[in-house]
Amino acid sequence: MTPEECIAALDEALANDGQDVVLRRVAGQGTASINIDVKCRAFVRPYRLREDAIVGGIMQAVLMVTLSPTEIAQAQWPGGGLPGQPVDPSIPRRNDKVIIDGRLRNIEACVPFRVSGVAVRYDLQVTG
Amino acid sequence: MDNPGVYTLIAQGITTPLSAQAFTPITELDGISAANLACVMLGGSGGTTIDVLAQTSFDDGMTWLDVAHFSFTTSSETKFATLNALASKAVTVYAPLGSEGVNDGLLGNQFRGVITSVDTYANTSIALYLHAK
Repeated sequence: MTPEECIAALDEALANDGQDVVLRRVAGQGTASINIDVKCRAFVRPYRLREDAIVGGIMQAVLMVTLSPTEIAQAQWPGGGLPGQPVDPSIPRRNDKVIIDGRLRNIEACVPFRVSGVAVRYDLQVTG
Repeated sequence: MDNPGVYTLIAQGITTPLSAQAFTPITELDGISAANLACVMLGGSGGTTIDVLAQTSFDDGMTWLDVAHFSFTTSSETKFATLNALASKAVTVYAPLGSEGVNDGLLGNQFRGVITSVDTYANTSIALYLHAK
């Protein structure tokens, strides 16, 4: 399959069986922070509970979230950035956020799945 | 037009002074006929001035032309401008925007933001949004 075919197949599956989420990058800090959002379709699956409790037996869920690059590319997310960045800024990264069912969660890791060098899927490990 | 929607031209925390720092462009906006630009400054402590330019290009990013200039000092503000390429306009000599204002009717198929800041700001961010129509 070509990268385009892989993305199209994922987009069709996400349209049929996925759910809406919001991918968020935060620029600035504190009261001067700015949210850069893009709406995406995603597969959201519970993965496991974190080994370490947040406090006193309260465990935190780890979710696996699968995104297509399609909505990110269409929105040209996260918009204009400083030139010369070593990593493609459109790839979700640690400490970006995902809003799932109205709840803000943190991205711990992102693994781009590539075909012929083109990212065709992002698998995110998400907590919160 | 191709790809109408809201785009983020700049979302950046501001600390040390920036000298005409250009951001990477938003592209593939062929057929754009109108644009809303909104520029937001949050915070504003410590520095002196921040000037934000919105620029457009007709030649695939080789040359950039000013379409709007927003100026801020040390308080949170939101400023906006509307640009329209459909209204008839007499021949006009292009002039860079050295102070706050717009060059209306000038809409290429790429846009970018440029920041110049004076002195060191703390807890301050700038966002520049383009609604391409």
